[in-house]
Amino acid sequence: MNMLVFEIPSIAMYILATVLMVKNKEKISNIIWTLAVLCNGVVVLNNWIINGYVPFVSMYQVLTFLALMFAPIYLFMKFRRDGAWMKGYFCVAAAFCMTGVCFMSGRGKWHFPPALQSIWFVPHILAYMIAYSLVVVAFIITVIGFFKDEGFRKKADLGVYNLAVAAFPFMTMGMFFGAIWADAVWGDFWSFDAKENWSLVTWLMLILYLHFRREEKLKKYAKVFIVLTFIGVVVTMLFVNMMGGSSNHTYSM
Amino acid sequence: MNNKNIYLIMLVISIIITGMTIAVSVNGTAGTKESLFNSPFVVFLFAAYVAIQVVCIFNIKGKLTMYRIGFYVLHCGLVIMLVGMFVYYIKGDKIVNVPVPVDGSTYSRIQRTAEETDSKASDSNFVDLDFALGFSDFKVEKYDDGSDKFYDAKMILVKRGVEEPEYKSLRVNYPIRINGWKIYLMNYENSGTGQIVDIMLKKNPGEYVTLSGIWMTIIGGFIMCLLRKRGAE
Repeated sequence: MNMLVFEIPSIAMYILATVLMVKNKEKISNIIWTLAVLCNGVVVLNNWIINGYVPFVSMYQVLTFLALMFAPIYLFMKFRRDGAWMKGYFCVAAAFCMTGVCFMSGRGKWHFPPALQSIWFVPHILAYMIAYSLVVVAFIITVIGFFKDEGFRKKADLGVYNLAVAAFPFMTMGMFFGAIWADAVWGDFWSFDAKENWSLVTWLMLILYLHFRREEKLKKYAKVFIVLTFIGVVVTMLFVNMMGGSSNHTYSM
Repeated sequence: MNNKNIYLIMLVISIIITGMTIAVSVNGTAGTKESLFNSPFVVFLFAAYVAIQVVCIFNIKGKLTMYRIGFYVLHCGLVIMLVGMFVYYIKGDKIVNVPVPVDGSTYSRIQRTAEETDSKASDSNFVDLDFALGFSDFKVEKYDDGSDKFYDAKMILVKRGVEEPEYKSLRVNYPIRINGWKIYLMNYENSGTGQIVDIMLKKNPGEYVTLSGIWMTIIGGFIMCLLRKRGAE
């Protein structure tokens, strides 16, 4: 079955839900968002069933799963970090990811090479996906904040900080689980592979944001590092694979 | 040293690492990567990072909250992890691309390949192990298009002073430890005379130190970031 039947309605409903959220149509936007998540979930489930493993190998599989992550993470932010106002940003981020999914090749059955058959496969990628989804939303709020009034910026500043604080342990976990896995499969915790280097750069940018944000004299520069963290995420996740070369991480495209 | 200066040093180190990463990405030959990232300069950078972590640990003051506990665990973890990696840099050893025929013979003397120039343990081209290893069987499963699905080598281990050999299954992702060495199954090839498995041997005296640091960093990050009070900065 062609999964575009679920992907395109999912995108349309994510966008519609975002529009309705902006217009403060609370109830109907929640229903439409739920339907979008269900369509998104069908695509993930289909990938899982036809491949027989957690669908984290191809970029198509990863992006589809990433889009699905935004809803549960929003619920965490809502109940634990006063992030109810961020709903629309999570929803539009999911719409972006699902739109990217439509342009990805790598549908259908993908092989699961011996190097990926490890207990670290799921925790490494899942941790990164949680972190990346938080960073994407933090980036969207930061950019929108540039065009809004002072009241929004103040709220956005604390919101972005909360998102970055939540992203940090997951990004750390993703990176270091990757290092432990790399030691088991390639014999080195760190081999300065392109993907490893870019993930380190992304992590360092997030650390700089968290530190600069805490220091009164440096606080005004902190937003720059959220933007750089997002750029790091995009380069690590998409461009490093497109560059090809001799990366050890050449399973996913 | 005040926090502002520490953060600015962190910024400088991050800019240098980012610059090196961009340089390798743009001009991505293996030689460039080796010369940039395996240089003493990188060791110096990481040593500087360790130093500022230590300063941070001593700079923070106040009540021992969950945030503080997480802070100490995370920063100490980073220091311990980098110390472990430094131990490997100084005392570690790695023998790559070791082809072993699957014919039941065992070997206790391993020859290094010509490109291995980073050996720290020995100047000799040969490494004498205090055990002998070989392979008695090799199984491979393929997908329909001929790519590998699974492979597994049956390894023979003969320890010094023990007559009876041990048999172990060596697979990708599951290295075997013996007498301080870790043995990895890297690849295999079919030669005219039979199958050959490519293995790697590695000795890392800092492994458990590195692993302890890694786990401390992860756990510290979770305590510091997710167990803090709502809205607290």
